[in-house]
Amino acid sequence: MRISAFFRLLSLNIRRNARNLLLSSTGIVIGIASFVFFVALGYGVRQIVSHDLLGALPVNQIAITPKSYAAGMFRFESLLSRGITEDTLARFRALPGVKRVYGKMNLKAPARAVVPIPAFLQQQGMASAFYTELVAQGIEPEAIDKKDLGGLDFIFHPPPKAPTSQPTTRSPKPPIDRDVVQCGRFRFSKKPVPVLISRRLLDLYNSTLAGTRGFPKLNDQFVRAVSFDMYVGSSAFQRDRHPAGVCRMKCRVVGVSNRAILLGISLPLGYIQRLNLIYNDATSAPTYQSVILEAHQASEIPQLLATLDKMGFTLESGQIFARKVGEMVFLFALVLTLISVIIMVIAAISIGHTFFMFVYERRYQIGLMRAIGATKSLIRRLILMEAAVVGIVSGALGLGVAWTATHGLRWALERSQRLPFEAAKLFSFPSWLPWAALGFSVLFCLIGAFFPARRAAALDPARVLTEG
Amino acid sequence: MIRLEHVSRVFQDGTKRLEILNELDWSLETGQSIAVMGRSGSGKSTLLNILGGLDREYEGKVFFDGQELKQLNDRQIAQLRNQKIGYIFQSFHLLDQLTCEENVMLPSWFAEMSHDAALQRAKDLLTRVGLAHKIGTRPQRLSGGEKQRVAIARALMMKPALLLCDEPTGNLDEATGEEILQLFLRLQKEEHLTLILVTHEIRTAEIADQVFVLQQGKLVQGKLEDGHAVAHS
Ligand SMILES: Nc1ncnc2c1ncn2[C@@H]1O[C@H](COP(=O)(O)OP(=O)(O)O)[C@@H](O)[C@H]1O
Ligand SMILES: [Mg+2]
Repeated sequence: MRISAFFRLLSLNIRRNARNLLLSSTGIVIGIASFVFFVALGYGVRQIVSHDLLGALPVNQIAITPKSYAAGMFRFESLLSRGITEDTLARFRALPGVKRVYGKMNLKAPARAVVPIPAFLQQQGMASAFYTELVAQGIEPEAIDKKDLGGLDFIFHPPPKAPTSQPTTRSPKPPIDRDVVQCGRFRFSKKPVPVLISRRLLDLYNSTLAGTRGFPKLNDQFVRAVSFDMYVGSSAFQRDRHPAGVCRMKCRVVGVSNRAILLGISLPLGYIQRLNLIYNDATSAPTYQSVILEAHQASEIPQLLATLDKMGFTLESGQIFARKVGEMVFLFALVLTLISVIIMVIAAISIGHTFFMFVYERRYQIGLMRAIGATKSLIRRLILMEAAVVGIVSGALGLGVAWTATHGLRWALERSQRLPFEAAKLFSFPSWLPWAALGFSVLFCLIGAFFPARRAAALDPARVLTEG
Repeated sequence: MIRLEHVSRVFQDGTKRLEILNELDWSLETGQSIAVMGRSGSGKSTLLNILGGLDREYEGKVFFDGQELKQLNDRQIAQLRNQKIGYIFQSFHLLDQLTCEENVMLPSWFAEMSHDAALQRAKDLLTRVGLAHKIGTRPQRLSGGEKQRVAIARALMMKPALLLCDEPTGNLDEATGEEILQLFLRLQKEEHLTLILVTHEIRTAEIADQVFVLQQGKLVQGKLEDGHAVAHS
């Protein structure tokens, strides 16, 4: 049979029954719409909870701390705990299933920042700069997603080679290092220190403070333009200067990341390691506050957690909560998704009824087509194709309904401005979702039409054509 | 062209066994026109359905151009019906959503025939059955006689060798029926058809070369006498 003829027959039948088909596909439309709605909601909420609100990690990664640290809000460094040293990291790396290990190290020295305020905000009556105490944390640059950096570098800039104490060359003048900062016994590159700030902090600001009292909304690009000075060894709460003196370092924000410390700034680990050596007893081994373990596969995490537990380490408290909440939200979304699948099953039954009716109404036409040369399989294919078209149309309608509902809700929430996160993030549409929606819609229509199509193919043309 | 060997057809009606055809032996040469008569319920339609490959639940053997119909698969039997056999039914069975022209072309949709060739043939046939002016009309707006003409054109679309007509004038008034019968005669000559007319009307049977009567499940040669078909003794 010619393809064009097949589609001509198809379109004839569909047009003839368009109203009935549309009516019987309402169930599928509702099912698909709720499916898309709940999946998007589940994904959105899970992302907000785990990534934005709690700074959680991808499923194959965990953040761990020594057990004594995991006391929630009241963290205190137990004297008994020796903390996480380089040795500990090496032991973690050796564990089976571990792909990478990233340490996070806090700056163990007071620090302040002086952030210049942009001119346009000064015009609105703000001061020319603001001073703040700083919590700085070092993180390994490899742990940061390149997407968060917008093309900028988040690396430790090595200082140029120091002039050796015994010059081997007989150059008349020693080189003058204009691009080097001397601080304690370390030299730093004069290039600004790359700094990350927390994505969640930015979101919290944007969804609560921004918009009120003339505070502007900040996006990644805007934040990346911010530079400021950091004074290590200086604190408003300490009258006396630190014995190691104060180091001034130029800093530049290069990105916004979920991995950055919530209230503070994150620097490449190299800076923090050196600064800690300057401001602390250099004889004790440097310790990390927490470690991100990346497993080869998410399925290896439970085994890994058991091993770590024996070693005296546990999940960061935020992580435990994030995992729990993430699981609950996922379960909740799963139940709702299942309900929408049940809706679709019921809808498939109604599609089946409609198609049984069509087959009965069209029995003469089907018998005639058989008599003049249609095969059984062609009749079956025609009916199934009709169902597939109904599936595509109702899938698209369902997507439309879901889109309207989610965007309407977003709009309403954005207007209310009462959320601790951006309303736009409440629904997240994974790229496979529209395809899954269309696929499910077609699948359930095909399931519904399966038996009617079989009956149509099995129809006895001799009987229908000679009756009456 | 067609040969039946010991063909029986039994229907199960609840617990009753209905032996409609009983060990039929019959053969038919190309180019003949045959009328099959018999009382209502004698099994005329049943016989026609078997000859046309629509009903393959018979016992015995049916050969069409040397091929036994039961041996053919779904695709082969569909192709045979499409290419070799034309059907005309008492109740026309035209598709209301299609125009006359498309109704006539319908069989070509199930074959590898180009659209242009099919269109040409359909127009030609509609002209020959006297409906050149109704090409784009839909069947609802045609009279009974016109509908049957469209059905005849459709049956001839693929140049079949055998034309099976089940009470072709049963739903038509006498004058219209007469016109249709004349049309059959003319087309049979033009298209070199083998024609089987099933009817219980004498006037229809009169146009056939030979008359057979179906009675008690057997097919017997008959003749027309005083407005009755009677079996040769
Ligand atoms: N599919 C069927 N199932 C049961 N009985 C049938 C079936 N088809 C036909 N019959 C019976 O077979 C008999 C012959 O039918 P038919 O061939 O249509 O007769 P005719 O065309 O000569 O009037 C009738 O009694 C009819 O009820
Ligand atoms: Mg009959």
